[in-house]
Amino acid sequence: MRTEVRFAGDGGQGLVLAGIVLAEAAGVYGGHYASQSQFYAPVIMGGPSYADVVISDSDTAFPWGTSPNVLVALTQRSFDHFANRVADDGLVLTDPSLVPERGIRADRVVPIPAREIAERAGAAKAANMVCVAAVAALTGVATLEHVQKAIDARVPGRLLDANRAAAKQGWDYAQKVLCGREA
Amino acid sequence: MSNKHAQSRRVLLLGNEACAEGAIAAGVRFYAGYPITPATEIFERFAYRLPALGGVCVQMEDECGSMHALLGAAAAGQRVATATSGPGFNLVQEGIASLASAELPAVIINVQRIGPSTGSIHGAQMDVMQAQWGFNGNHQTIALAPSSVSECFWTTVRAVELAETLRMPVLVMSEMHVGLMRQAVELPDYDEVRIEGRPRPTCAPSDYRTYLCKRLEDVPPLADIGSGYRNVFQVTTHGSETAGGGGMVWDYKEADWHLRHLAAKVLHRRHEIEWVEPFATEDAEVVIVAYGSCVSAALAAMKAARQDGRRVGVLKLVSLWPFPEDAVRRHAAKAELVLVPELNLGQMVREVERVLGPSGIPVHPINRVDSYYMWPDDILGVLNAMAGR
Repeated sequence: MRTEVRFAGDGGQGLVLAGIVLAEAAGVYGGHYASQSQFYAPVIMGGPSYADVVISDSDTAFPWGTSPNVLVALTQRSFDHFANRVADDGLVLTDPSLVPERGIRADRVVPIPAREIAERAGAAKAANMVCVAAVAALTGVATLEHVQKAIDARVPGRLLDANRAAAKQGWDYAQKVLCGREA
Repeated sequence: MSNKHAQSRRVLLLGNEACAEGAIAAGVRFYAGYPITPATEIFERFAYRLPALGGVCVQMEDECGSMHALLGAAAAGQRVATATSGPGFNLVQEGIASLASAELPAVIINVQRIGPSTGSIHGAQMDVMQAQWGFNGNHQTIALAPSSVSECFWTTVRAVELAETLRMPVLVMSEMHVGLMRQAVELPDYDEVRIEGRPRPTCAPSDYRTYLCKRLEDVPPLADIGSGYRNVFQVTTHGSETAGGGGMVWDYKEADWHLRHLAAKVLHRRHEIEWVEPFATEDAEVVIVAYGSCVSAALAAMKAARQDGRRVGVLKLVSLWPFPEDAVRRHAAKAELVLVPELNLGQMVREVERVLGPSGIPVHPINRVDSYYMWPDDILGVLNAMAGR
């Protein structure tokens, strides 16, 4: 079983950190094969950027992204660029406040108000961690406990509480979506 | 970014960080470098780790300076390393030649990016020939190419050991795709990482000569500067019994000894240095010879082709120089076709062609130079085309 996740948006949204946290949760604490890579334009903030995570049962899995099973798109540009490249059964997780135009089949899109949830948790910047936990819940590649352990290891102290809370609420939101889908 | 789990066993590491950790595990305590993307994380890791270990990490004025700082530290007895990329790899060539001629050990990590010249910050395997032929003179190089984060660690450990035991510069030819990839890896307890060090003199100081050895292939024992033995390190051509002076050698016999010795000490041990890994080559009609980042694509293509009933195998090359020619001959012996995927316009394929030429086995290159990693489909496409599909 191979799961590919792509966090896509602009530099400054914490996409690479999101990839690192998911890879560490699944790979270090969950014991799976995990590989993470990134692309960013040669600017400090604001250019297109994405991070890929590959999680697998096989130790010789192809380590880079091919077609994601889950795309997290946090800008309109990244949605337009990547939404049609997800795998056949793939999902696109996106924040409608950041991506108003979602021109693909509605059943492939999982809308999540990541920024709003993160603001409630204490820091709008933690929208990335809302998405990490939601992806973990939707795919089963990592537990919430392992995501939060990875956040502890990788996120600076002063933003730790907000990021942990954001992850918890992202997880809960995704669980509700999952229940809705199953019902 | 620092990793708070540096001492625990399972960690998420960048390939670049793993190179630095491998060197540290193998006892490297001196690093001199100049930052350059995509190799800078190696420098950062050393800067973060070495002071606490009693080591020295120094930023030099440029890559030429780095190499000569390594030369001095190696002569003083330290295990030493540097890392660079692309244009920096051009600048370290002079130092590689100096270390080779003076027979001093050092590890040089090149995280390859696209060239020529400044090129761009994209992944590539474009310096693999430069690793052997980039410097002047006729020195047999040793180069290892990691294909994963775990191999970044272990190739660097092995590079330190080969450098020390053979008294020479050894290259780790990493790549941006591998160096800037993170993977969850198991790190060993560093106390368990035991490597052989440089040969030491057992003679009296008065009998010691820096390059004294009996046979061409012997590695002369090496005393540290300041240890009571008198060293004369020479980047000029020299004989085995040279006692000093450091001027040019005019004796044709000494020149002959020097050049043949530098080659013989490596080639005499080529089977110990050889590091390859075969995957299902026993019955393979098609053998993919791959190294570095292309290994992952080769293995994925092999898996897909095998599911399709086609007999495809992979020979992974970790040691690139000296070229593991016996292994290539052995594992491709029954092949009807050999594929060589590379992120350049055909470099190591020349070696494969040289080795397999007499057997008549066709060798087909697969090349990408557009900054992407090799995709499994790039190889499968060629396999399908060859099978007439």
